[in-house]
Amino acid sequence: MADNINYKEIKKREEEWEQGPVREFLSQVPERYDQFFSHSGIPIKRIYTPVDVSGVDYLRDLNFPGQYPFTRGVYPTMYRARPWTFRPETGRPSPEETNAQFKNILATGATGLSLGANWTWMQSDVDPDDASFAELYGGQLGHSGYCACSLKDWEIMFDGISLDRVSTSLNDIHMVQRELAFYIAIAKKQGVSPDKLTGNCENDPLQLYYAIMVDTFPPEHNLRLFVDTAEFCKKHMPQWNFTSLSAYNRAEAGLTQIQELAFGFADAITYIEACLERGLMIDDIAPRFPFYFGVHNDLLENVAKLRAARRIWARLMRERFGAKNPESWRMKIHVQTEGRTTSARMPELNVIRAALQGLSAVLGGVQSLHITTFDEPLGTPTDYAQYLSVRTHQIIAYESGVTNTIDPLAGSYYVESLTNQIEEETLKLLREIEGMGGALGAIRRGFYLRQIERNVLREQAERIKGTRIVVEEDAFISDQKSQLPYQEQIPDPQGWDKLVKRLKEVRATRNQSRVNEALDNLKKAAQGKQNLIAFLIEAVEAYCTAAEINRALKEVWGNYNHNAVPHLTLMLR
Amino acid sequence: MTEPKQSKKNIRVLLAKGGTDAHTVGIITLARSFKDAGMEVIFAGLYISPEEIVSEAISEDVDVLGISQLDGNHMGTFIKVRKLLDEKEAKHILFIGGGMIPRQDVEELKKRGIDEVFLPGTPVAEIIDYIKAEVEKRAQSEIKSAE
Repeated sequence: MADNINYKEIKKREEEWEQGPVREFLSQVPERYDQFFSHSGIPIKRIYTPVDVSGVDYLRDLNFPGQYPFTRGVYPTMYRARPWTFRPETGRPSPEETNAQFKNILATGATGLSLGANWTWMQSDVDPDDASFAELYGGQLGHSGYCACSLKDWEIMFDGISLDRVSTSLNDIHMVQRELAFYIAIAKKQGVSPDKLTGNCENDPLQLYYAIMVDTFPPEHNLRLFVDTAEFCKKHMPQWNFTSLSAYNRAEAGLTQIQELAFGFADAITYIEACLERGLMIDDIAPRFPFYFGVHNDLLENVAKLRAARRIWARLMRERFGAKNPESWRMKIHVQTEGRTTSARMPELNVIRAALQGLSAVLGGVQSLHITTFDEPLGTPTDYAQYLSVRTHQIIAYESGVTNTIDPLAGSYYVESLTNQIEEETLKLLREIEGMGGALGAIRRGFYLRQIERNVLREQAERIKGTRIVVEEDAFISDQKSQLPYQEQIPDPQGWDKLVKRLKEVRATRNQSRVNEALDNLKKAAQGKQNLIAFLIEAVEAYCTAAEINRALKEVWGNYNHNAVPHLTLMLR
Repeated sequence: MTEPKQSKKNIRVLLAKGGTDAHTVGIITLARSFKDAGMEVIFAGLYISPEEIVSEAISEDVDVLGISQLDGNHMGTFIKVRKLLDEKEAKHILFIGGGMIPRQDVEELKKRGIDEVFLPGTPVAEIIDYIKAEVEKRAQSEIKSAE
């Protein structure tokens, strides 16, 4: 790292230290484990010295914040200018409840919205007023995620929220294009043109085939929807991020940090190549291609991962894809503290876990953060839990002092060495995936699924062995009772009836021939090669329902069969 | 004399994801832990209808059926499966469920005949002990009624 360091001498002294005082100590008090590992399974040394980072060239590998390869951050002033976006997740079954939640959260100090869609509604190809919906799903929508069937519901959901003044993340992972169409239609009703909208959509369908397996179309159609979105946003929504690559969802399915990065990059490369094939230029897409990562329990590994991710992206974009615009090299990152690290025993401990994880994300230089609420393993976030989450952001941002200088952990022998190691391991795994035909090949072979399963089982085995500890689950189990005033968030019991009633009203009052025409146009376009976003906007503006749109496209494209890929079944037999 | 043969064979378990849910970490962990505890485990898959789940449970002749569901629609799935198990004369199958399920629903499900519901945070060993005890109990009462 510096010219005047005598690496040889340090190495020699380290050896002496190991053989002398360390050995003497070990003979009296052994260490807790024979070997120490990071969360991802990287072996961790007793100490790190300048020797471990001797290969680091400051200007080439780290440089200054806002300068290539952006290891130290994508902007020159980072949090000294303003803190990251505080973006809690929202969405409750009825549009009225979601609207109230938006207003509540914005009043608490959140600076962005994140719309979680109701899992069942999002995938369904029948509407809640259809008898078969009740038959299939027991006449209820569950407790989490918003449900907004037609533009009428969307009008209620965004009542009093000016879309030109809020940044929104759309997370209908099943078909975010449909959600984007609703959002654009609402903006137009408010007199806000699409080019004024800021936020992103979780346009990331490859995750649906292994990490978050919703009922979906075959991959080639989803890739087409991906590119349609990129193309549309480039033309009409210059301030909008047309994707948010959800490495988080991949990690949550049970991955290490390295797998999370490698799978995320492999999928991103597949998307980018599909866009280039359509004729888009790398500098059209890369500046609007943010990533959404998870942070797990290992605080310093999280920091190293986020730093490594920026460097890998910058080099990929510049060296491999030949991007010329510096904006293309800057990886913008949203992070969520990982839900799977929370525990249902003593949920208040999750406040502490999330604070440490949130801190790691900030030390890793993220642009936007979602601090998972303590009640994550119990149900949909309650107002009190979201209040604590927003306050955790504020304590990190305004009390902890870590935002006063940029990338404060740079130069730590350990953090720099781990950053290098994560970069190397990620690139190695990425090459392996590319060797099997990239993301699509890895999906087809079940490679991703098997890696997930292996890691889930490894983590479980480590917990049984005692080398991985969840406090109050694997160790330090007490009789202490939780004293948090946790009350399950019970959805409005009238919500379902209101939703169904409103749907019936919409059906009675909408112009049915306009509906039929819009759906016909959509289907015809889906059979051909035209960009589908305009057709989706036409459909939602004709008050077609979300399920009608889904059904129309399914009729043309068919369904993907998740159980066709060999995974758990094979392993067990 | 009672025949201990029934209770000595390996316990067969069918695990399935219910409804439209695809959170698999829990079920992967359970599948392996059950297997390590000496059970035979079959994984039915994702997006399987109650009809398919019940028919596989019967054709695979399992002792235990476990459904994991975190999409909020457990009431619909679990009650339908219970009804089908009863209709197909598969009452002997121990039917357990788990997932993100509100406490008031747990009571309702147990009233409706779901044998046990395990909530987040339940130690895996507790589930295994429960299954072993229940399957043994059922085997004994079957032998008794046959006598």
